[in-house]
Amino acid sequence: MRRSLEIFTAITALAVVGAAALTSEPPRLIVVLTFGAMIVLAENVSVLVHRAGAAGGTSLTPGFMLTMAAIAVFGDDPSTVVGAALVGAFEGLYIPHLRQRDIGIVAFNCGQFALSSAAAALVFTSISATGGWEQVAAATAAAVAYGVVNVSFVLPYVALKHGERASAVWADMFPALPNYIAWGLLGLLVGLVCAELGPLAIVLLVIPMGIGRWTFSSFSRVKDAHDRSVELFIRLIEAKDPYTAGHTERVARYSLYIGEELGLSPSRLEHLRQSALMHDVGKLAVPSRLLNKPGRLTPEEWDVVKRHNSAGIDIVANVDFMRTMAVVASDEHGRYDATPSVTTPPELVLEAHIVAVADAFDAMTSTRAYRRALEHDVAVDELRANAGTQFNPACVDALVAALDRRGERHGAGHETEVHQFAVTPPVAGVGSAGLGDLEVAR
Amino acid sequence: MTHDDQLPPVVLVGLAGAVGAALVLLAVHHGLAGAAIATVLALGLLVPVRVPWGGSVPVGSAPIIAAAALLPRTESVATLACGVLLGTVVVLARSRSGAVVATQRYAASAAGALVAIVVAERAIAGDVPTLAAAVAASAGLVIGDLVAAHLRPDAGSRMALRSVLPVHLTLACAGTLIAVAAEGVGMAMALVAAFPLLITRFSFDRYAGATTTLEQTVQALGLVPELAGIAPVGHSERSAAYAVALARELGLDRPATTRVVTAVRLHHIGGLPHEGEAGGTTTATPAEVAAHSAQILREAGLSVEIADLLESARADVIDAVAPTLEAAVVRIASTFDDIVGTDHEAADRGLSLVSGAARDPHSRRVVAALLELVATGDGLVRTAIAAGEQFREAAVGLDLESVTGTRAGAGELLPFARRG
Repeated sequence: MRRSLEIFTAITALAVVGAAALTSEPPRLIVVLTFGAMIVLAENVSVLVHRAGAAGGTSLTPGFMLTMAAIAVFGDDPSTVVGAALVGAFEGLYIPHLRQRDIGIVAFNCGQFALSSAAAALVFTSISATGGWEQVAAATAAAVAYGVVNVSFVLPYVALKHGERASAVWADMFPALPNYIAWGLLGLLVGLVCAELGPLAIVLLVIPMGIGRWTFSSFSRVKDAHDRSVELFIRLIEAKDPYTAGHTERVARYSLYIGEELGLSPSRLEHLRQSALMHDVGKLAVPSRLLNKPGRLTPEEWDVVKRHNSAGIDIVANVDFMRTMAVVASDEHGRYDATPSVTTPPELVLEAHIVAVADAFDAMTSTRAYRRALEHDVAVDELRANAGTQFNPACVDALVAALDRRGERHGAGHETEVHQFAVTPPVAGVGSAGLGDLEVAR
Repeated sequence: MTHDDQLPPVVLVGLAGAVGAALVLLAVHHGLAGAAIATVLALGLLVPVRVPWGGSVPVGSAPIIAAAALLPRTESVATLACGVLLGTVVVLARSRSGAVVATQRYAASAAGALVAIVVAERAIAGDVPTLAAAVAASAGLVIGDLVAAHLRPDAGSRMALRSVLPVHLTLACAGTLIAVAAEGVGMAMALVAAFPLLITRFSFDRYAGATTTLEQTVQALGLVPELAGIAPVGHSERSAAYAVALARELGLDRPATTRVVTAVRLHHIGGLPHEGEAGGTTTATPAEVAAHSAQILREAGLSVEIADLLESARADVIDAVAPTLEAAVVRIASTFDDIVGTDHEAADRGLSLVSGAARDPHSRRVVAALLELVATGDGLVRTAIAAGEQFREAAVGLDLESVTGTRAGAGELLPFARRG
């Protein structure tokens, strides 16, 4: 299936270029080769400099801009379609694919890029623009034409190759579509300037492109380092209390379930995820002997745990980016019936409610030093029983709905990560142990 | 006038009136287009492209270059002047910190661009082609901005110079493209060239934001051993303050400074209990802690360079031999704070102890820099102690069983053995 799409694309491209070549003069070879070389360089520069992560199959590439520039350089001439197709074909020469000897994907890419470029050239040359806004309109139409052809080949191909549904691939590609118009227009503009002033103008495109690449790879490097630092942070939190293996990640997952169910925006979901990952940060300040004590805590010990937990949160809250997460992590904000201080933003109060519900659910459905995991339904009933007082009812309903829809069951009989306890914890009901992590002896 | 002074309303109204009159004059003399361009230049000042580690360049650099290269000379002078004035009034009215620096740099940039074009005209005794004029204006603008930034006494604006150059280059290309496109292709298409300015702003902003977040995550990680009670609260913060000052004094570049500060902040990470090990105390020697810290960083997939630096630095070991200058900075920043802590009276004792123990050339260089910094009375020790203080205030609820540094044996400092 995938193979036949590759063959079909390559043959169609050859046929279109061949037919166009028969009806027009040959394009200027020097333009084809110059732009071709620049495109191969631009497409592969990140590969040559360092192997930067996965080059996503649907990412937009700088070669596109250069192809559009070439179309403008060829100018209003019948040979432009053939020239554009030949230049566009160079976009498919991606060195990692060539190294893997994946001829199929190279043929497919060369073919679909040639066809997209030919479509753009056809549209651009057939709209006879004399200047001004007409020219902007013609350039926009050309960029759209490129995008339409490109998407209609790449979408089914990616769907076939990775076995994904077409709608999922479309959702992945959709956000990048405005870029087709913006970058396409810019490429055409540079080409027009090139035609006026000579090839020097291309430098004005290449320098910002290079700097843009550099900024992006620097950003990716820093982002990667940040993600690893956060992972280390979580590991340090979990090392503090080995009985809660995987707890942090599960709380983050349940929090996202609730957040999605409540319709939070992507940026707020990301903040919620990070806050949930950090929700146990206060534990770092709690003496380990108290955290890992098998039996009940005395009231004095319980007081120490609470005091240290909140002091720990206060300390990290001095770090700017932890400030809002610390609000979410604090016990005072997690309770639904607590009066939040006027200075706390309402969205953070909601996040604190979400994390409190997620935390309690995971605490009940996993085995702890002081008791074994409760059953799924028992935990849900307990959440419902305390909804409106300790828990935000909307968050409880959202979690239950999200778990039911996914068919997920947790708690006794469904545990995935179980710590090996020296003394097997007792089987106990909700009455013998509180909810949430630190409420051991309430 | 200091940075944060807000102008009295009377002055603001007066200024606004003067600029409004100037705009009207501009419109009368050179048509509405001139006034429109001046407004664009003013708005351009309000949109900064941030770069990591502080510093920014206003997006307005690009339209300044285009306007300087395209407009006839008298018109360009009047338009640029009006644009800069209008922008200045708006920025001062908002009175954001650093507004004065920003407007001074903007004015210097515009002046630089104009001067460069005049120089180019003199040099070839005639009209300069638009492309050449735009290139000259770009060079003049960058020089004007850098000179204005360099004249500022605060070291911060000088530190950022190298990081703002890529932004300058990108904006100069966009400005030049706007100028040549407006002349050769038409104004409508030339506006397309302004689009990458948004991308530039977005991508640099994102990079700058990620850098800040990473720094703060490292800062938070540095607090973990302090929460666990194996280092005094505030130690990481104070040591980092010494490390930053030393790196600046020694002229370390940005990546080296980042490495040094990260290593200093994380040097106690290895003192935390190993995974699966209960209990919070550590009896490991500083060298073992250093090795374990490095191992933790490697396992976490963080920078190998920082792990190596941590291992070779042997933080907290007062008389170790430093293999590199960076290692010496890490070690001396941390040991100096081990001795001084929150008592600025102890600075002299700290200086004499670290300088007495410095045997290798790298350590001696760092100690010399530290002596210089502390002796010149910049208040470095007080600043560092103040940096740690907010963390100590938050920690009042903790019953940390007297966590202090103790000097043990032949010059080796065994820090923070926990008592009780």
